[in-house]
Amino acid sequence: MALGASVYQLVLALHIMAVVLAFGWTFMLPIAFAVASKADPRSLPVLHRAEYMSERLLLNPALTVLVGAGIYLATDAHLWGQFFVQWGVGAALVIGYLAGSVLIPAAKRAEQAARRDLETFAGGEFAPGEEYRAATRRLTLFGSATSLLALATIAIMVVKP
Amino acid sequence: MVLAVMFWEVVLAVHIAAIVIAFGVTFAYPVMYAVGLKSEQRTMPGFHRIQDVVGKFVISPFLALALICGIYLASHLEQWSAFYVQWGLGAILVLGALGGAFFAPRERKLGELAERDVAAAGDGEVTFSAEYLALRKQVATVGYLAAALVLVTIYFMTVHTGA
Repeated sequence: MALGASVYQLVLALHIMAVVLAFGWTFMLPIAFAVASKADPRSLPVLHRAEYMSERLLLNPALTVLVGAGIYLATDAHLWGQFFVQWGVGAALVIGYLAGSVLIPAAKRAEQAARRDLETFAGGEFAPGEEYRAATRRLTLFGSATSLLALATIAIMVVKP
Repeated sequence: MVLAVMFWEVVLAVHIAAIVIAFGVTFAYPVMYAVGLKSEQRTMPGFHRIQDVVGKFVISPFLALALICGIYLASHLEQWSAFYVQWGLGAILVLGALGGAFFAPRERKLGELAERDVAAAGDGEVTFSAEYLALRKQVATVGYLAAALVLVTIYFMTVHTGA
């Protein structure tokens, strides 16, 4: 059994690990927010805080590793002319931009709006205000787009059209 | 640009996507714990409830999907004797067993204990019991080991160790 690996393979493994760390957690957000809204609305602000902290502490650093490893792989294997490499670079840039300029600010706005709405919440069914609903609509729309883009990019990277 | 795709390549893409969805979430738990415990301890019962639901409706189904795709790929590509396939199969079974027999009951218990401790605090500051803290430490330790197993498995799968 050959246990040795080339630097290329090690960097490729790092690239895939970074994908798991960067995007995997985002797929549980719809379920997490559905559970929190129904069972414990008071946990919504802290959940939004955990959302943007995860974007800062997981998504951004892992995306940086992913792009760095991808640049090494494309350069080492002379793949810059390939569609899947160009798509991958483009997708990473779009996701990084969306995280920094849309998702993190929207999660912060949602946290603040949820806190304000909860000040008057006395139990029963939680009815959030328009500001919270607008922020979560933005999060849902751009969060779903980011997740779909991540899945499409995985498929393109594997199939290498 | 050639767009022709082999069926096994589609299955491989689904296999990788299933791994990303099933295990990626576990890497966010330490961040969620840290944020919850630092800023709002009263939300911890809710966090544990979310963990329980995510385990049932995200981790378990996608773990099963990754396993089914892996079995197809190993059969189609005749890789059953390769070390990375045997390791991958073993890892997915260990992680599945840990999910059902270790994490699920303990996350439910953590939720109950956190709820009890929060209720006992009334309107005052929440102090979690030694029972809750010990169980949380146990779950976190095994969680870190499971995360390490996921990363090691990704390494073996990528390098195709023993192929």
